[in-house]
Amino acid sequence: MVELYWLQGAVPETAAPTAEMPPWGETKVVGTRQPRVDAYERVSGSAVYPRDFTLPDMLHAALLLCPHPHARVKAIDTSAAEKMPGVRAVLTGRSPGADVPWYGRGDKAASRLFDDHLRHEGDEVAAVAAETPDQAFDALRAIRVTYEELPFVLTPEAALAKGAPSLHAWGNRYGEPSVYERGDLAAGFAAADAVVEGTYSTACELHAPMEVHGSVAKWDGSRLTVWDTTQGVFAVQQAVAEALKLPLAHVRVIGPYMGGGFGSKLEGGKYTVMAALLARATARPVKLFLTREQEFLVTGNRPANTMKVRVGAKKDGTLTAIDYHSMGSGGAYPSGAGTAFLATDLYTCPNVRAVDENVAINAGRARPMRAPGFPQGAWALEQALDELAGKLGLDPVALRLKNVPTVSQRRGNQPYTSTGLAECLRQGAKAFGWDEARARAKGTGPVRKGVGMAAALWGYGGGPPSTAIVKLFTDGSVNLNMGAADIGTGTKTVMAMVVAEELAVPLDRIQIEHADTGTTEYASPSGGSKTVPSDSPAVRAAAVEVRSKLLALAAEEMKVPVADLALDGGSVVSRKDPAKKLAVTAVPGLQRQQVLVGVGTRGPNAEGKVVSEFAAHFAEVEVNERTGEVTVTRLVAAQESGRVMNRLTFENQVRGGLVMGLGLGRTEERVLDRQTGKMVNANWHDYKIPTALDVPAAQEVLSVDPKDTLCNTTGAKGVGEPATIPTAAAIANAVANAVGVRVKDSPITPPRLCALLHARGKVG
Amino acid sequence: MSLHALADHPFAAPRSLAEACALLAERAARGERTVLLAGGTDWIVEQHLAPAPAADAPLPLVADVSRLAELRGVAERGDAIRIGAGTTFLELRRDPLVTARLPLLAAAARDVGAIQIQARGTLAGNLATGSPAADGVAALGALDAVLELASVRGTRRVPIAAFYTGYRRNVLLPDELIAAVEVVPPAPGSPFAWRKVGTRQAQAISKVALAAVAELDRSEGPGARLTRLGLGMASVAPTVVFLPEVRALGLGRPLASIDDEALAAATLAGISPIDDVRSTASYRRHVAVALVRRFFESLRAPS
Repeated sequence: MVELYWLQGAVPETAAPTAEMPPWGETKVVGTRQPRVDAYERVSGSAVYPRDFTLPDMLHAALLLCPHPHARVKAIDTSAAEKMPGVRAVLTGRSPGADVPWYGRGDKAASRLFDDHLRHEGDEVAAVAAETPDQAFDALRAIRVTYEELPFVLTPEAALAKGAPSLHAWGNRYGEPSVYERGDLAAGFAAADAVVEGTYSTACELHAPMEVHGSVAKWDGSRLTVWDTTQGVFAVQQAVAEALKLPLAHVRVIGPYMGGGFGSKLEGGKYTVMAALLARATARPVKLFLTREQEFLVTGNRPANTMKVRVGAKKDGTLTAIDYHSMGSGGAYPSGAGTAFLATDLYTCPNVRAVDENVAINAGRARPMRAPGFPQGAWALEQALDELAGKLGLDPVALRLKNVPTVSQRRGNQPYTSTGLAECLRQGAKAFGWDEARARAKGTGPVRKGVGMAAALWGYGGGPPSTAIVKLFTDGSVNLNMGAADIGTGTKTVMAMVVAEELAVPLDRIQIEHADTGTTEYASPSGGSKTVPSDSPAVRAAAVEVRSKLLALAAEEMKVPVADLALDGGSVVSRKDPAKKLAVTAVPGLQRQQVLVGVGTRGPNAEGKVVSEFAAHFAEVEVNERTGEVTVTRLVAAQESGRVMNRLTFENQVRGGLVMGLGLGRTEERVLDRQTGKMVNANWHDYKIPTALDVPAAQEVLSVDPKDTLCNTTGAKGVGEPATIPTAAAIANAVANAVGVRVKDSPITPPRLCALLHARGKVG
Repeated sequence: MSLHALADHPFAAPRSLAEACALLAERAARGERTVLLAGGTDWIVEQHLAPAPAADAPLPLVADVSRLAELRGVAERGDAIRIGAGTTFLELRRDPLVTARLPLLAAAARDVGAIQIQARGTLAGNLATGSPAADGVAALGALDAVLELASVRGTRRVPIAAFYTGYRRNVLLPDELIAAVEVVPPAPGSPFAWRKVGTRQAQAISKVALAAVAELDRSEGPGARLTRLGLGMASVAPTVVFLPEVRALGLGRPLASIDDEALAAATLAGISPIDDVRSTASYRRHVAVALVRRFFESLRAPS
């Protein structure tokens, strides 16, 4: 099952927009290239991120984490630490208010805020607040913990073996395997002219955001304020209120800037609750941030997956059957590990069986990571299809074009509001020069060239609830109030552009208040590539309401029917007689009321339709057959994400997606030591994220815009996640094309590829 | 220990090389440990990762030598180029003498860490830490550098091949410091190779790195032979290795007569790689041979 992780819990449905909002025709601002509205703050260092945040009298906290992969706390002695200089509080599971259920609610919780049963290296043991960070870290060293070390399991296979140690009371499985089936698999394979079969695996990948996780907590009486580095302030508010048994109204969470999350900051963190408890115990504000090493251990990951795929097709490429099985691990605590969605919905295929298994292991808990499950699914499915194309003697693009669906088979055969998959394939291939590149010689020396491609779908197009408020002031400047976090994707800029489009006001006259549960409107966490499609219609509705009010007031003054009026620059103008013109600042009604307020909500999605995004990526590589080194020399991404709101942030998102996909395919891998169960590369020099030199300068980003007028009132779908789904698979296919050896396990490291070349006797 | 505990160390800042040597001598005589700190890019990271020291263990004195003028600068001295031990990698890659006469060293300096590391990390720090993956050591080894070790007793000169005695161990005595290295540059235009094989293009601690220089006598046409050959290889043994067997095989013999099998055998004789988080022993053996063969291939190609 793919989790709808941003829709956990009950969410109120909001009303449909009040104003009639036809799809935009020609736009003036939306779709142009606009630099970030906060670019200066971000690059000059004046933007204050939570990690930079400081308050008078603030204490600094540090966390003690379990050094073992599986252990039980037998005793914990904090007496020496409490007497250390500058120490103001030591927090353990025995502290007042600290026995809080975690990873689940009430009796169903899988653990506690501090649990004596420690299930992975990095599980939380204690926290200290002191006058300085150094004093807090000193005190951690003085805490004496007696651990009983327990046997551990690092892979799902080991966790399911007979006699394996149990992580949880119910065992080591997170639910029964989820099974999806349609059609008749056996009949499908019997009808196939060619069948390919293979086992693929992806390594565990870490989010590794620039800004480590953490919070600053401050109490005013019984009211708590938290500054948090988060993708969703309302999710943090809910988690903290629940943990501390506070009314939601008494918890204010603020998160204006944040330094990257990629899905790891969608939920409330233990560190936030610990900071609040330490702040309450000391009656001082407390800042608690993880260290870089801790960040690698406890803030989540894209789980490792093993995927068995069997695909059958007719001679002409028509798919007849897909049998897919995925084994993954949510880690030591419940989290998603499914990868099967793509196999069930990317291509037309009548006979499909797809199974997802999710098993507990003694390693950090998974969290959604940029298109959770999808890049892994693409790694397996799209490599299998590449092999199938080879077996059938078909072009890989042609094979895919043969099987482009118009409906979502996974979701009740409902039609898509728009589908650009075929166009992504065609336009991407054209821009890449696919046919020419396929025909080109691979070279005769040790360095071989190859090309590959892969396609993708992303399943979600946002939806309610979302509310935004727009205010127009007497001087014509505007305030936009919304709850969404800008997680580095340019959300603020895009939303300002929506306001500018409707109110014809320059971007620098728009002030944005956002991501503050105390003062801004509800938005679900910025994740799932749904921030723009969920929130931009609400923003548009709010701006349209302000415009309607303004035009009504102007009509009164100008003695012209409202329907004849439009906004142009800073003026209200008659369409019929452009000589009739009134400056916005001269509208008497506006001066009388001082401010015009519009409240916009996100209406429901189109009934009976499915919103999805599509992509096709093309890669060119050079492989050194002597050393196994792979250089990605060119990438082309064709994305169908509906309307492009800001061409610049769109390209920026896609390039970031390509780099992250390249990391999955080529360099990134959490390494757990088999003997000790500890992570051996919890740092940035051995956990290898691609550097600028690993990313090809030759990148092309295409937008395929089907003019989707059904998905929502701005016509925009998401782009952040679909932009990273097929990259790694495209690179793997290019490597196979270059040297005739398929690397089925990610990442494609030189030793791994070299060993395969060696086995084939191809080594130079 | 955690990084913040650095401030607990006793600290000194000698104002001259003589003063630094005197300090070392004094402490060595009392059996006290001294850490010479220049860029700190190795030692500080090591301290951060090291377990906390026993509460009663005396912490070593940290002596800041980063500002000693005697340890800085690049200058010609006779046929050789003398490089102050405190010269940073950034200075090396920008130095006109180094880029013109020792392009191998400049190339290696460009690949050490990121630019921030290059701006702080020094040649002597790289030598003294003696990581088996040290790029600078591999390059200096290929250039047959001679280390100048200073103490109150005077200076002694140690060829780099005689400097290391084991994993992160060397012949430096407790009262000595590395003052400079001297390198005789190859004839202008001589072939060289700097090849680092890692998982990514930058900031990758090598799986294998090869530094190589050669001088060729082409007077005999197809019978061209090597009159100078230097090799340094990183990440294939407990220390950076200098492949004496390959040197013995290659020097003086017509290039055309050196076959791939012999090169492979000579390379493997000089290395003893292991499996670790960055690579496997078998891959390292394979790539070590491939890199040496590739270098000889490039020498055989008509220039």
